[in-house]
Amino acid sequence: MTQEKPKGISTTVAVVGIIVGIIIGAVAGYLLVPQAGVATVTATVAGPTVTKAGPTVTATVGAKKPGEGMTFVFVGHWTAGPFSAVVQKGFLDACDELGAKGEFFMAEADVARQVRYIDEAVIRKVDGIVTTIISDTAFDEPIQKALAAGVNVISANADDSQGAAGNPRKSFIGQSFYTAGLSLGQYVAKKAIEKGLDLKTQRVAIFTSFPSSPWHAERGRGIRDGLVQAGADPKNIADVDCISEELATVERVQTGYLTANRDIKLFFATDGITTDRFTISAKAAGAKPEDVFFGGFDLTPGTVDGIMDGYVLASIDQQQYLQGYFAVYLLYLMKKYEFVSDIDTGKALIDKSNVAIYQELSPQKIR
Amino acid sequence: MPKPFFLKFYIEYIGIFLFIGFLVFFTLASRYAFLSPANIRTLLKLIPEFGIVAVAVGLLMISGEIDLSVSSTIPSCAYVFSLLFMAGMNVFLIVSVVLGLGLFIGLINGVITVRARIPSFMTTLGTMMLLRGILYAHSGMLTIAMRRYLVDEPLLVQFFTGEVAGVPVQFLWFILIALIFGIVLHFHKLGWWIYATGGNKEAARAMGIKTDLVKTICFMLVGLLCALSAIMQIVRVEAFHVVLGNLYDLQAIAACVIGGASLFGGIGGMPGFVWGSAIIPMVQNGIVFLPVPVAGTTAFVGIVIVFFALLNTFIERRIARR
Repeated sequence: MTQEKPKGISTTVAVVGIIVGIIIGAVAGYLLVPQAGVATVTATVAGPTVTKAGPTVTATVGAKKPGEGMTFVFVGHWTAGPFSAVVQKGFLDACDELGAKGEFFMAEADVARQVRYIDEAVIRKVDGIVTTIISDTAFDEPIQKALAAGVNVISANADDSQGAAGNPRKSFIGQSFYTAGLSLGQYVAKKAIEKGLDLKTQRVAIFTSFPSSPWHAERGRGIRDGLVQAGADPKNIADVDCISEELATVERVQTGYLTANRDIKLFFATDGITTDRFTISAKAAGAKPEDVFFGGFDLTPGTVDGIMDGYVLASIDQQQYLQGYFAVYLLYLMKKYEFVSDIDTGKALIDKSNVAIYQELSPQKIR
Repeated sequence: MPKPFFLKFYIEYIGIFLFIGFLVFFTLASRYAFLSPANIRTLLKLIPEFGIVAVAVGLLMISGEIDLSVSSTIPSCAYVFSLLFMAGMNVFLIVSVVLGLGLFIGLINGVITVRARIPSFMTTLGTMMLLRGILYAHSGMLTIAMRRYLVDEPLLVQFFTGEVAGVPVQFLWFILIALIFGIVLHFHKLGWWIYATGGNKEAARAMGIKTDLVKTICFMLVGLLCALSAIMQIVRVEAFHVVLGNLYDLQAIAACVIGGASLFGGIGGMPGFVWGSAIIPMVQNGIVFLPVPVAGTTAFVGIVIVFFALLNTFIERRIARR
């Protein structure tokens, strides 16, 4: 079948195109035009960028903010989601306080794209770059080049497995995945032992949507060590691949696994969605709160509900707001006074005793 | 001749063969745990959210087009639903607006594809990125908890996610939609036009069929069912997540191919789409029952998809050669 030769754009097509363009422009404008007192946000799908419109007017009209004229860049490995939204909020809030311009990029797990964003920021001679180091080798050279060009680079959220010995970045801000997993494993194991569970013979399942990710590897290692310290047999601990972060897919896998393995009482999850969906999956599999001992990461509505309902014993909050927030102040102080310091954003363990505050702060993208 | 009949019979019923095959396999391999009431209820609840999108995508594929914007349409509709809910709008209006939004997105996809005569792959790739960008910018990628709002709307919850005589309502929706689409596709004029458009567009035009209108209608149906799936998901999950509907675009295409659809249009049937849309979720669920490590589930599903796509194409060519 041969293709019909295009006749050129007809009047109808042109009119339709103009109308569609106007509608799209109007919608985009309504959604993206800044309102009074709100920062401008623009996003592209291939690595969302957030640009601050400019300094916010403070109560003291005319007072110069300390960071005015400076530009800080955050290059994260994430795809868009509630976790990175909080990091971004912390980053932009700090930029706003200092009066600096903040640019937030997400590489969507594409290391080559992440390196490119870093290189582009170096060429533009920004005042500081913070990035998530998710590879022990891919970021060594780009960061070295940045430092040689006089641009300070620090890491946040994820770091080289050897820390400063493995990468020339100046500082690291974040939570150690391993120690977070270790504290979670120890906490859940303690609760399980208190309820009479025999850890020596008990099988354990660790759910993940990203089995090859560094955070799963390190958190999982920490969880395993925490359990083994409490008496569990490492041969009884298995990873369960939930295939993707799509909600129904995770539920199907978790429900099936819980149904097929009713002897397993001890569960963990190493990322936000698999933690979020566990409560629903456990209920679907017919499990009661007293039947399972579960610990996970991050705080999403499903996880908070699970803590309140008793299915989730505890979840680790990375306090990722601080990773974005402190990164800006550290880069600012580094630029001005050459301060260098690692900052541990902690491993806040959230359970029924302290979950209430999250219901208030989560919608504000602070926790 | 028995052989061509067998091939034709096989390709029309490949979906149900595979479905029954996997069902038997997982049942036996799991020592009947796969058929436990809890697991079956989960599958009956979760498969339809994907299935209703897949059957619409199947219709579109028969007409010769594909839609990659599904994975952005679903979370966009879900986001609008949650915003309107929080604003306190009447529930009936909210559902109408969201369904209308889905139709509108489908209309845009259809009009751009047929009037500008660019491949639907490009059009829907563009709308996918456009919608996702707007969604990310406006939502800030924030998760929105909906439980406290849905508590006040028990009828809505029951209508989309309740149970009737122990059967999840989502499954009933799926059967109803598949039935309606099946009747239209196989017994109505529109269905013949869809096949004709996908089979040979020029011949269809020569017969007086408005192929542009047919394709646009198919795009709009995809948008409509994406919106319905979004409402079902957000009511069941009780929260808005930006990852709702993630990967549905490619999985829906894969499901339809497994169910007998051709990537070039003109071939496929509703029974195949129904079975095909059940197979991928069933495999994802069933594999955890096997006494093997579950790492690599994605690879297994990928092998299944590629194998049956190749088999499908091989059989189509055998029929065409005769």
